[in-house]
Amino acid sequence: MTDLEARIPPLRIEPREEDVLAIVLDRPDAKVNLIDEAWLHAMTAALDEIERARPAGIVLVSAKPGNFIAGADVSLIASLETPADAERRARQGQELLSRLEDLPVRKVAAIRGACLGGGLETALAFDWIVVADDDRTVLGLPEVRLGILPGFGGTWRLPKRTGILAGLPLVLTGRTLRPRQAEKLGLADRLASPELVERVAIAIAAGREKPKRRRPVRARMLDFLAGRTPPGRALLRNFTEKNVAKETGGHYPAPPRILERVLDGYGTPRGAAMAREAAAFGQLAVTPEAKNLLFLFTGNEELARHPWTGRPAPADATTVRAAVLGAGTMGGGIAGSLAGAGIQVRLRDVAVESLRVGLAGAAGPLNRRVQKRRMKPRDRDAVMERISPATDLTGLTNVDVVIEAVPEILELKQKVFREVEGIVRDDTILATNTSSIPIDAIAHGIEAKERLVGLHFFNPVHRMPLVEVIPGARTRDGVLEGAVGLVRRLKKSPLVVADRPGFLVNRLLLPYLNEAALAVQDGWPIPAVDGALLRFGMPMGPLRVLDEVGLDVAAKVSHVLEDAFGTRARPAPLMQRLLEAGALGTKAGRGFWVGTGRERTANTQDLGGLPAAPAPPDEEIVERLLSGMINEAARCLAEGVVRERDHLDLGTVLGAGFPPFRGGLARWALSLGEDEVRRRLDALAARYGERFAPFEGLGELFRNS
Amino acid sequence: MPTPVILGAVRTPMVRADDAFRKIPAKELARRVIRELLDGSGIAPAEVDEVILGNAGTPADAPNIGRVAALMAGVPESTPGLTVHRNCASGLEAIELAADKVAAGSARLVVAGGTESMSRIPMQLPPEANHWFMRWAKAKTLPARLAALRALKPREMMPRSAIVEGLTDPVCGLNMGRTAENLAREFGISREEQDRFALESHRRACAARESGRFGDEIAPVYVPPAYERVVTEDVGPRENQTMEALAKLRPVFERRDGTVTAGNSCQITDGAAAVLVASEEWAISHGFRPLARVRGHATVGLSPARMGLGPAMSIPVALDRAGVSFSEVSVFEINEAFAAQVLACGIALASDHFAREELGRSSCVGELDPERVNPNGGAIALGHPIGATGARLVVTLLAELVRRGGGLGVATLCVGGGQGSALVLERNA
Repeated sequence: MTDLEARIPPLRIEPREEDVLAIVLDRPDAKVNLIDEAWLHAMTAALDEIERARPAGIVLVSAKPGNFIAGADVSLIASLETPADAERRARQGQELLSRLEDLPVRKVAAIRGACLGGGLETALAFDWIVVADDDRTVLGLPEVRLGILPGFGGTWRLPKRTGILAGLPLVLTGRTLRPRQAEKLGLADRLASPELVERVAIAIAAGREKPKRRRPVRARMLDFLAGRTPPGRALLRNFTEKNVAKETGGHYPAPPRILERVLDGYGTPRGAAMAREAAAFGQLAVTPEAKNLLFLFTGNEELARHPWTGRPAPADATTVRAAVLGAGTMGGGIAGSLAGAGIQVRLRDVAVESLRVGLAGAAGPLNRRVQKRRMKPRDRDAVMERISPATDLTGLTNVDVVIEAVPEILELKQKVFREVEGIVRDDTILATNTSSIPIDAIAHGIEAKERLVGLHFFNPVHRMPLVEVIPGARTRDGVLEGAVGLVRRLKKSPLVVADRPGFLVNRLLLPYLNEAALAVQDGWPIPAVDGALLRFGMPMGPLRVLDEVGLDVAAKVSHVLEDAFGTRARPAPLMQRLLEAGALGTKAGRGFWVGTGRERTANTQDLGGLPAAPAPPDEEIVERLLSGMINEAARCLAEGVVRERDHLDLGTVLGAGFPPFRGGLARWALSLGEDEVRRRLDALAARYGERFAPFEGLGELFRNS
Repeated sequence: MPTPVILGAVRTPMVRADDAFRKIPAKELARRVIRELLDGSGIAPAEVDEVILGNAGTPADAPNIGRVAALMAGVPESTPGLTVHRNCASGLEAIELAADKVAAGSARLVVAGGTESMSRIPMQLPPEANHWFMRWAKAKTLPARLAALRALKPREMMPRSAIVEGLTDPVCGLNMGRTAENLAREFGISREEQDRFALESHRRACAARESGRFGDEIAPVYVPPAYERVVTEDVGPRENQTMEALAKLRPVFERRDGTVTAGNSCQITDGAAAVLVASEEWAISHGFRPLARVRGHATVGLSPARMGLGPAMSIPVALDRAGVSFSEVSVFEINEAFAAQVLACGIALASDHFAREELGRSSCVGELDPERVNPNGGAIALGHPIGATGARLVVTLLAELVRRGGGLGVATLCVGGGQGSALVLERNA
């Protein structure tokens, strides 16, 4: 704690009219309010003062625009070391909020801006909650996403207010609510325009206004049946347990504990519920899963904030117009992503039909959201209206950034850049969405080398949070910063990686996918291989990933890696065989799997004549497929593909679907230990060949950093 | 005084109503052309001083559609937007108004055009229905509601087509088609002449479409929200149109003795078109070569029952104002509301009697050479999206003048309600 923070508390008490006191949340030198040591301390002092003053009412307001309370300080949670320590912390917060709840005055929380986690738990201890009806205000208990549960009474107070049927899913999924949804569920007692929130809250606190809190009889009856009657509870528990198991694959300890706490606490007195909640929090907070999720959460924030070039790269706010060249799957997705961030897009392709497909690709995810009523048709239209299709090279003179997304052919990419570099402004950033061609190779064929930068998006663009940002040897600093800022503007995670073949994600992914193909070649059953990795926690088995990516696309990347890294990256001959048979993957209706929907069967037709081996145990499959990946990750670290080990984790989780609860590839390797990884690699090398030979710098991966 | 010039021109395909553009509102059609004009020319939207659109259907959700479409197209909020309504000439009126604003020095760069979705012009309940619904809203008790229900007359709840209502003149009570029948009788134009004219319109439009000539003026429309379809060409011109097929059609407006049929009248169509109007000085200082100069324009009034003569009445006035003679004009784009009406205009312009009686001139204006009129077909083939057509004529005219390497051109329409409007453009060789 700095001197400044010690002097200026994160909240203060101010008088308002009519015998109402306001607790004003205003953390010094920060954009958001957080619950940390200083906050708990100041809140305790504030309660003392209120008890002395005995006003008619109090209101809780924030002085931060767009933020109420962002939640508890994550570093505080991360620093908890023992269950007892964590439990004690939770008790401390709970007692504070219980004391607040028991104050014999009218208490009103006036929420304007994001109110999350401990912030919402605080608001829940107030008698009334008034919520600003604007776009920046969201409410939720996202603790589950960090592998913990709300430990300041949230598991008890939220369902108490909204009823168990509405409250349970909120705590279980961590979903956030918009003001109108919050009102509908009874979480907000009253909505008000942002300018009036505080005044309305004061009117309630002064006793002049009393909002009606009236949930529909039907909802209250259902809540009673589901939450208070033994058969109802059993049914709800059973149903939810099944859903949780399906969603988490049993890998995440938090949801089952949350379910238990919410169900058992519902309708019980506060004291006992709080004690159990604190105990559960204590146990969850120190699990490896929680530590890993917390690490990824902070790491991701760091990724966005990290001063890559010695200066901070803020979210770009100046880009007004962009051009996307090439309207394929990637081009359409990128255009949609840009338009979604409020940027006007000129989408260029040579053919009208390609543009149509690109627009359809950009609109697809939006239409699905509209269908699920998560988006208003008008908002979808506003996004799509920003995309302006063209078959010629007009509309490029004003753009701030050009993103090239044409097929992965070096000469084509160079040609496209040569076409536009003379048309665009001389400060326009030229970005290439290449997945395997080095930036310097493209730069070689164009004039504006210092404005060229790689922006590697992943498919499908609207779902994949990672974008690799790749500076070439000649890329100017401002250009790299601009590219990082643009990625932030798209609300994605920018990972700056070196211009080495395959960059980071594909370089790590390919040995893993290739090894899966080699395993099939050895006769390992397809369902066993994919199943083992699904059970490991991957969102999709490796062979299914190959099918989705397309074997032709994967082959292209493989060859780039083979050219660069030689025999250890040689593509499995089986892939070539499938390619020749036209089994390109999902787009062809068959690859390793046959079918395009959810239910698929292993492809026996194109993969006949393979030796039949019994399905090995999961551990053996995981060892074979992931050990090479660890080995390659060590090489990436040594070559400086990434600047720090943490980036291996963030890259693999955000870009390659590595299970978040394992914290990423490097953290998982660390949990195995250097000796075990070496043992595995040695054994695999002896059995399958030199590609598994431990990299001489492997040890670096395990050094403390 | 600044000289108004036209810098860019673009239109959507003209698509007959209830077809591919069925679900696209007029504002979206307009957005597409405005955005394409700006992107295509490389003009920063902030440079635009005003957006003016013609529209006749007045969609309930976008009454000032000029403003709405401008904002949708990314024109800054600080740029004002206007909608003009002169029935069939609305799109032309927008361009004329823009040119006048530029000439007066009150704007340097204006986006002007027109848009119409005839598919989406609503069916309307009669005003009696309003009364009933208000009564229903006020009826709070059960007896009051029952009383209201008893007062409900099904006849008053019958929806009427706003298109049909809009195409009936409120002053003379005639449907537009009947005004065309009037002209056919007055000028002795036979059914066969009208059908032959219609056939030629289709032939020319099909030839233009086949040769790709329209490609220069059309911005393809990608059909939202799923983008399963893209429309690149006009949907309306019929390649297999024959005299026999046209002859089989029954007159629509006068069942017994009429000559005006669906085949020799304009089609009901969706579409939008727009141009960039700027001062010549602005254009040159920003490095643009104008497509054409606006030389002059005129709008005149006449008897609503003979509204189809609007072009014949307005062309001479516009040419006088532009200071050019009739014989110098190389291309006329005359809106084909009805074949009878265009043919009547030709006869009227060539008639000394008409000139003396109606125009106050000593001799006729001139012979209208059919080869110089609508060389790429007209509304009988391409359709007539009311508020957009005037701008569509200008876009097509400009493309034709560019192809011919320059010359004088006139875009003109007859206007329901008894008006005529004509605009004179000149492209230097």
